[in-house]
Amino acid sequence: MGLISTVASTFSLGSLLLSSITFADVPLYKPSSNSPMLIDISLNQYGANDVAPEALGIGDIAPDFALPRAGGGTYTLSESVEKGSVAIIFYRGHW
Amino acid sequence: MSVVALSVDPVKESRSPVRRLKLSLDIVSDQDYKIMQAYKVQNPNTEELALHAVFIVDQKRQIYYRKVAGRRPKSQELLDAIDYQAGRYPLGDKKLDRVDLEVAYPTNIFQTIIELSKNSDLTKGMSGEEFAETILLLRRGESDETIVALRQTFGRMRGAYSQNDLLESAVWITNKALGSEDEMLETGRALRSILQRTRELRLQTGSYSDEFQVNQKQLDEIRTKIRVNAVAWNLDYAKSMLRGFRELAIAATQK
Repeated sequence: MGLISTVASTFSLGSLLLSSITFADVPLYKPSSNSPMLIDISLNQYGANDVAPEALGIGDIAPDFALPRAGGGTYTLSESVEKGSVAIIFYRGHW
Repeated sequence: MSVVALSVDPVKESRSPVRRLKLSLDIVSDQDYKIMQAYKVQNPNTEELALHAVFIVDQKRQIYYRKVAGRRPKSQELLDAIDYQAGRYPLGDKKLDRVDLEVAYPTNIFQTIIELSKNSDLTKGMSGEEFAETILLLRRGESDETIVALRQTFGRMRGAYSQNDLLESAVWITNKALGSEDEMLETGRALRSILQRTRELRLQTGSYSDEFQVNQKQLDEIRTKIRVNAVAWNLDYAKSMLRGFRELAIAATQK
């Protein structure tokens, strides 16, 4: 029980709450469900993956594209970004 | 902010699911693989398919968030990335203003922990890092991941502590958090009843009907009650989670 008492006295809940609020100045998430730690999601290392080591990263300019839309017409990235941020999602397909 | 989703599916194959799922985002066809090659997210095992990947770009098309393969990001994560880019993060104490206090949803549980912190020391048996991480998970309303974190903590504790220490720690945590709290439990039950009444009213009245106008005052009164009692209700929620925590601890000691 001695070890538990030491832990309890070393970390008061109140101070930990304050520290957790203070250090969370950036969004922190686990890159994978079994990751041992939270990582700043604005860092390149957060979203990197060994299966695609050359994938574009933070700070790169996303190549423009114009592709046919399922709803009809053509979608152009450079036109969409004029209105604000765009989340570009690649999915596997083959519904 | 907008969303565009790309796959190698031909446009005609995407039309049906777009209609069926009533999708409002842009679904586009990268049938000749050129775009996934340009973004370098080809699946190394099946080159005609893309890896699951998300990039968020600003108005200059500069990437400020990316996640390639692995765990798929949840919507809150993407919203946080956008808030961070826009200078709206950290939210600090204002974070609490964003959560919906009308319902006792796990996003409110951070308030619960604050309440518990006033009278309890929950860190017994948990390292500072583990506890801080759990708090962050709770803040984001990721109750499932919080429970996973608690499970992992207990797994570690099982190796680091004797079984007696583990059980004693769990009993200590549970007693601190659950002892003599009948009043809080009663509040939780009362609040559930209010929530049920709110749902009934919503079912009985349409948003644009005359009846809804008549009942609006009653709904407002109920919402006020819920706001007043939200912290207490969430305390009840936290306790139920801690009960699970205790059961895990007991189960661990019995293995």
